[in-house]
Amino acid sequence: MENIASTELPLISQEQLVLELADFDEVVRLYRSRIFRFLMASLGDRDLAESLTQDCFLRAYNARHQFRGDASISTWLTRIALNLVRDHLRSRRMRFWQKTRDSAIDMVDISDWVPDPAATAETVMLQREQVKQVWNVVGELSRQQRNVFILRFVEEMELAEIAETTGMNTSTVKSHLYRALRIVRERAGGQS
Amino acid sequence: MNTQFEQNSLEPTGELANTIRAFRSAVTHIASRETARPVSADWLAPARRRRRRARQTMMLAWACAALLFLATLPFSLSSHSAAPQPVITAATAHAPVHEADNALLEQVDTDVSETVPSPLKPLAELASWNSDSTSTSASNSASRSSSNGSALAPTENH
Repeated sequence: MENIASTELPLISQEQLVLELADFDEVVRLYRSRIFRFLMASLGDRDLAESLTQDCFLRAYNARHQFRGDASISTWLTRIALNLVRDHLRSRRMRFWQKTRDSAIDMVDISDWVPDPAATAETVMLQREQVKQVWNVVGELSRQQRNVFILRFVEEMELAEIAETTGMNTSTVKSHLYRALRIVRERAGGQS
Repeated sequence: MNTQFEQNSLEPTGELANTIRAFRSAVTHIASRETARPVSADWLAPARRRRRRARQTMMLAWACAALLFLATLPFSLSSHSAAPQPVITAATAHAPVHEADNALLEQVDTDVSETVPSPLKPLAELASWNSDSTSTSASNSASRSSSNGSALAPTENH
């Protein structure tokens, strides 16, 4: 968790952002983990997330001269990643004859994840099951609901930032988030 | 009040909040584990290859489409050129029709001119005489004018 670049980036000027982007290795080092996390949470497939992370940084590298610093690099990269997810899902729908994984979540190994070192084995198992369940439900959400849910609860973005990243207005973001939460609450069995 | 309700409905509480927190923790843990190793210099090489392949596929698709278009072009052109063919045949068939018309008109002309009914014979003669007389009167007047002219003309004999 500590390796992930924080959403709350320090306020820097546009010139600094552009200069920061000039050193692309540094950009990769700072944001790779975060983009990978977003893609893996969205797609539930580690290999695909890695491929799309590479695609995301390649796109960003090719378009680095077009970056004007209107948004943060993080927002810009996340927007590219969102477009890649959309394109991927669209092309997967076009290749409907190919067998798609029923549960790609199983591909992601969370067996070495320990929620709390002090927790009993039973609690750890229970929490892993809950995580898998939430992940499955997230996979069943509509694309926009899933994006908003992950950006809010995994990337911990503010609603305005989500709106900026996704290109939706804040009320639409709220609406998608409300519906996503309701579905997760109903299907993942959590009681609020 | 409404904002409070909105805020509550958009922020999970209780067990759901814990579950979502665990979900984030697990995803972050996997992401950290998977991206722990620093990237190599050719880390973007597979992405470049995929991009190149996608571009080649796209170009191949366009080339196939162009070939298909070129292959079907003669058929479409021939089907287009087949349409004005009746016009050409009509134009070529127009000459014999025209000739036949002329022949018919000539025949009618000769028939009409030959078979003048007997009661109209005097009229025909009169018409022919009239035409003759007009031609002769024209020639007479011409000769008269010439004779008059000669009459009026000063004679060199005087």
